[in-house]
Amino acid sequence: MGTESNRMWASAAFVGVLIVIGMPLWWKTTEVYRVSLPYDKISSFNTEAHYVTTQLNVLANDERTASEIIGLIEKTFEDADIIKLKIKKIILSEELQSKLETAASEHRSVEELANAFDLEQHNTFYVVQKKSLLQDVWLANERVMFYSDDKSSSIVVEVLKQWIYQTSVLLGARSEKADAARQTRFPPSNGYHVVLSIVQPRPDAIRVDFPTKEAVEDYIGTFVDELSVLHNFTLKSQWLYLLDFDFQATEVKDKTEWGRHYAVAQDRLSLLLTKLEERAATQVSELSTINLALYATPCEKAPLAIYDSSDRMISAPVPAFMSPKWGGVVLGSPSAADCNDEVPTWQPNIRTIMGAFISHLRKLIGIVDNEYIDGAFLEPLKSVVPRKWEIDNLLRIRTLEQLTSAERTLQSLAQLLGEISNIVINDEVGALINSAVENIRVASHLLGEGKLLEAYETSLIAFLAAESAFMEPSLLSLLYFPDDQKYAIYIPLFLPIMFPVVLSLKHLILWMRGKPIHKEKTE
Amino acid sequence: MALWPTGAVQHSNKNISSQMRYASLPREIVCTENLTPWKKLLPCESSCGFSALLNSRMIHNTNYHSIGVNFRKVCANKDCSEIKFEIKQTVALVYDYKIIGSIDWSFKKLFGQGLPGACPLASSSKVYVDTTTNDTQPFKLVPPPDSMILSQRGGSDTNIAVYNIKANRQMINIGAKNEVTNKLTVTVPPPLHFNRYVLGYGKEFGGIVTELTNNFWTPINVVLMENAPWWLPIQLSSLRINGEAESDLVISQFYSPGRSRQKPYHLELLLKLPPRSTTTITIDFEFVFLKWQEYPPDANHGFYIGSALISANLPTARNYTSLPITGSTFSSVFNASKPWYPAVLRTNGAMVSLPTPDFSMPYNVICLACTVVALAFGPLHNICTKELVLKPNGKPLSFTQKILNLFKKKKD
Repeated sequence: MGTESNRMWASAAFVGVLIVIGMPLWWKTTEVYRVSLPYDKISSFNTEAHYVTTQLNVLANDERTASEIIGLIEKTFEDADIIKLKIKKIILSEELQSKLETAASEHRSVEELANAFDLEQHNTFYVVQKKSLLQDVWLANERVMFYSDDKSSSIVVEVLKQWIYQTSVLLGARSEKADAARQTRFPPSNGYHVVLSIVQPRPDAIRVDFPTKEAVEDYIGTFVDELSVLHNFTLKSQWLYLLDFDFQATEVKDKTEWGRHYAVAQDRLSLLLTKLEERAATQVSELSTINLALYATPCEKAPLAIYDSSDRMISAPVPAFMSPKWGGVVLGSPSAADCNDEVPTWQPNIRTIMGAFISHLRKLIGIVDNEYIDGAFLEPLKSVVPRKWEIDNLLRIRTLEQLTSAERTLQSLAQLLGEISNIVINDEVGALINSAVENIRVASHLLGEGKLLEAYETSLIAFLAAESAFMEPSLLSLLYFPDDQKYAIYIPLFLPIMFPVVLSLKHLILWMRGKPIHKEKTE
Repeated sequence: MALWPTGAVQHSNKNISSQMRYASLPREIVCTENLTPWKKLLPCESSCGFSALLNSRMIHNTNYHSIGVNFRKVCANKDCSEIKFEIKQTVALVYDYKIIGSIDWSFKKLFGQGLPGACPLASSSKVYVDTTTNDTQPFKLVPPPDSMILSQRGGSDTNIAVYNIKANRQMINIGAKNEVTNKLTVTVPPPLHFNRYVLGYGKEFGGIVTELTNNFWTPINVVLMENAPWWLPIQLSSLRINGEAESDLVISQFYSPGRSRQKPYHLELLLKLPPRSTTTITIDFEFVFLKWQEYPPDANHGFYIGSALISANLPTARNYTSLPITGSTFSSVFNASKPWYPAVLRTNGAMVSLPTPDFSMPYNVICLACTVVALAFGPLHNICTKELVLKPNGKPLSFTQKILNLFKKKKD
């Protein structure tokens, strides 16, 4: 029986080499490379759980007013899960009280307050009592709001909710479906490329004197400087000549100096964007581009006016329109006097035109205009710079948007990885995903603590890492190497070899159990 | 040596040619996708002005076409304390009378349409027609030119007809009508011309031959610049000029060997071409094996070698229309006599076929080797695991015998 066991050992050796070592080795070597990813963390993301903590200082002349105001604010924001207020009660000193009351204007009062408190702090807002107010509530461009007495507390709460914290917009930034504000503003990015194009269709017929460089620097430059905590901006301007576009405008007689105007249907305007896109060469920057275009209407078609779908003229200081996530266009028309000159020259009114562009830019960046609240007065903007509390709110919106967007990106990537087995995750992409996951955790924590600036920066890193991991071309390097090719290469080896080995298994098992393999031939 | 900065560059002792970067894409040809961005650089694009003539259907129907963008710094004032940028866009088209169908030409025949006026942003728009051959072969320009200019440059006289194009959006169709249509003037060949081809057979060594012909009656100094990619190692030791390793024609030479996958080979030769002669320059190269991922798609098509760059100082201005170095517009050509006329010329390219593997070979090898292994494995496995047992002779009945027995029983 010695030879019998030798044969069985040989058979076992074949099985060992081929099935126990060979098959796993083959499987391992043809595997798609994937770094291990924190799937459990990614699947446990809850986009609805993020909230912002913010500091609110309530300043009142006496204890009773303060408690009443705070009580009402707390009650209103109790059930808002997106924003948590850290309210601090401060009783105004006699000296400051008299200073505030006797100040010549509300503006002076803000200055007095700035001496006593640090108004430059992000994510901190001051609600201050000032008895000598004409209105119930007066909202400054700084992080300050005045109220007259405890009777105006309901308006204070309303202003806080709708203007200062804009809870509906915050909810929209977090929710899965984009709200109106998110549909308008550009998606988050670490920078934007702002291009001002002056479109001149007839350079032979009229001269346009527009100091492009100064206009861009003075207006857009000043505006975006204030937003430098949020994004980097690159500014450019260009002239586009001979852009051939037919507005299909119809002449309408009126009583202006022209004696006419040309009516442009609203639906026609989107076609101008296509024409502009063709020429504007916006792809030169890898950042997303905010397009601003001034269309210098030729004399024979001036002045233009935009008509809405029900054929009514839209009245505005200058006809302009905005395209969400694309940019804004101003249709500038020379005056009749400009066109009747010997050398027709048009000097556009820089203030109105750049004002229109700034209002477009505000919406495209994400600043939401406020609806009117009865009894509340909002200090009008005196220059192009955004209000201080608008920047704070923008930081809150963007942080939430970046966090939820990064989480959704990672979740869909994880889902894709589950569905398509050929996606490669190399070390770099793995590191990006891990850093995104880590930064999301940190940013969410910072946001809950009320450290808004740090939270914004961390969430931006997380957002960019998640986006670049999702868009990385190396993910697709093996997409066209399907599984059947993997089998095609090895089947010629494994199929003929496996037959005898698998068949010998039966004998091997029988022998191991100690049963005789050959039936004793008795005769 | 072959290339030098032509703009306003700060004079310094630094070796300026060490900052030179040279690149060529010999496989890429100029086509519509290059023409559109080229037109977009112009303020009027193709809506009016001369670029409206560049209709890609017509201009790619020529014997030769090239488009160019030149960018340089020029002085903004007299003492050059301020610098501005100059961008020059050029188009060159060479038509064949055979393609036009007659020896009379016009804008309509050449470009498919007339010229729709000048670009309104242009400060000057002019069309120049060389009418020097009018004496030998008379032709008439329609419409008549606005003015005529006689340009004397480098000992050759050129008559030039000038058209001032106005920006009035009126179609202009300039053309020439020959009085005699069955005769052609033979153009005088240029003083220099070149040819280049690849030598060698097999897959081990090859050579590039560049032939330079000087038709002129005086010697001409030229710089030949050869730039070979790393996969085409050219060896300086194999450089032969008219078959000689040491030639008197070489005044100066520069060679920088390449490095595999890092640096191309660079050879520059300053040659004095003798009058009315052809100089043949041969240099050998070795074929290189590439890694399998370095092969381009369709590797059997071959690999393109870039053209050699030849910069020459021509002693004559015949057939020479290049702008003088200080000029920006074509009008600077008139009466611009200089001791010599610089020209940068490019030879034709060539193609080599590098040893290309059969890319399906690994799969074939795997299949073949696996089959052989499988064939060998069967008997080996049998010998190791099966036992040969002697059967007692005649005792067990075979299957057929059993069946036969059945029949026998039935018969019984």
